[in-house]
Amino acid sequence: MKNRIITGLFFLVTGLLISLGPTYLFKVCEAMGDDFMKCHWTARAEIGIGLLIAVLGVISILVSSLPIRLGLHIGAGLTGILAASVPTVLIGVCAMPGMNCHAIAAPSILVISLLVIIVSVVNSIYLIRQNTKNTEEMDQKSNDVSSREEQ
Amino acid sequence: MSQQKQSPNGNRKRLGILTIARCNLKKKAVRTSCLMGLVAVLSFTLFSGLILTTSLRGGLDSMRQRLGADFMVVPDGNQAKFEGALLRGEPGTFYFGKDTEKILSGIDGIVKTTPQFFITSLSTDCCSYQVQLIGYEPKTDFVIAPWISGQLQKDLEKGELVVGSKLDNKVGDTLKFFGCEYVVAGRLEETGMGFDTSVFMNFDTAQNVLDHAREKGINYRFNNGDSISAVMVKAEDGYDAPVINNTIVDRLREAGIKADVVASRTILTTAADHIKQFIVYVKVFSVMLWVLTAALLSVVFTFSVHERKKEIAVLRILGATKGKLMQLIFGEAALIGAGGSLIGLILAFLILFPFGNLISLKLNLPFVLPSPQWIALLSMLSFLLTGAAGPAASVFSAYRIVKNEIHATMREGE
Repeated sequence: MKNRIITGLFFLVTGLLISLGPTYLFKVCEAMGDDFMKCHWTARAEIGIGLLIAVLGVISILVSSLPIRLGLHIGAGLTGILAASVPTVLIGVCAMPGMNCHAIAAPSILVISLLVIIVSVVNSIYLIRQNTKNTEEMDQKSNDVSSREEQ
Repeated sequence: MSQQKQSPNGNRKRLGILTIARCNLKKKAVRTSCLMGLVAVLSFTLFSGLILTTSLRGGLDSMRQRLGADFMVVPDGNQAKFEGALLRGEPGTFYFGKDTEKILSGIDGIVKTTPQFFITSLSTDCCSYQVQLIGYEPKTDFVIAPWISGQLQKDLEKGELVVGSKLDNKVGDTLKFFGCEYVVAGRLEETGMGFDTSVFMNFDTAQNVLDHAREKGINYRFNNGDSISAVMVKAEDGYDAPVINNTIVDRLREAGIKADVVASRTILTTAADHIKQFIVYVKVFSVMLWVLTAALLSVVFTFSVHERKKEIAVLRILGATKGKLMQLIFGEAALIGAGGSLIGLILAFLILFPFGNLISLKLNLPFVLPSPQWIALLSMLSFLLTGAAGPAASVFSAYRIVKNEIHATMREGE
């Protein structure tokens, strides 16, 4: 229960940061009239990607099934990889190091995405272990019941 | 002390000192998290301090090697603008006559001279930012060419550019200035100076840029091909700086040219002074934090052992030797040290490297991040130093455990 709420909230908050950060918090460069730079499109793409992570977080709070949560967290981790690759590989940001998007927005997105990936990997391992433990306990119980029935 | 622990599925695994220590720490999760957090702060500060000081020293070394020229002569009143362009890549334009170079090359004690021509691109041209465009003369240049990473197979031709290391453009990419596209033919190695964000071209290409600027309605003050922005001067080995400086000023004054002479040594000394000051602050802060963390950990371990006196006495009655108990205390401390240290390092990696550009911009000093091998070495060093804080802090508590007699401990408080 604790893990479910903490990780779910974590994905919700980081997803919202990825989604809204480049537009409102660590802003990308402003458009020059009708000219939009790469960072503008990066910010637009991150809106969708971040929202997806946030939604996965909300669903993982609501669902108690371990295998489903495992799937959701793996999904969040993979979406985190996508979020990190938008400002670095897929679209990019302005080339000048002094620009806001290059110095602040891109590293912020990268760090938040890395946190999403790390938490997703660590928690997936934890959920797999929990799932195995539960299965073993269930097996043990069913074995006990069957041995009692035999007696 | 080494027992068998049975897992729910019936498998038995060896119960060693570290396993018991881990179980003890797990049981006191809040205390363990707080102590690990403390060590993590220490590890983060130590590693960040090491990386920052190494990067600043690297920046200074790079600047020393790559300034190339011993003196830089610029039009009168433009020294600050030139230093801004040289050290921070702040775009600036200033010009004087091309004949300045001829006068300088005739001075005794000056071995080489090469001109440079500065243009500022429009902010709308290339991805919305202003870039310092520097025209140089490949035939006489001794400042730019040695630092083009991966040798250029041919001379830089008209329409070709060399970009600074911090610009994202790769060889073969095109950059647009004043509506005309130019091909990137090479990249400069990292210098830690303004060169990292500048774009270099030969004088023909620079003239072409000016022509296109004029077509767009932008007229730079000097646009007739007879102007330059700076002359880079290389003096003889063992030169006398004040003598050369004065000779340059006198000769130019005689020719009716007003100019500022910027000495590399002065720039280097100023930067070195700032860096030294910064490094002293970082060192003092790191040492103080290490001592404070070790002292705090020591206090916490002492209290913790005091609380667990009876538990430890029971372990002794069950057959644990004094040595094993000391190992247990050290094991717990080592696990806290290693865990906290690792968390601190991960945090430092997540902040320092992605935000390296921002840090270097804010510091406003020459800044070159160390090589991956150096980073690995510094991480190991920080890990060992901060990881050692835990065991070092637990020495006193472990000693107290060995000293106490079991019966006295068990009867305490009766």
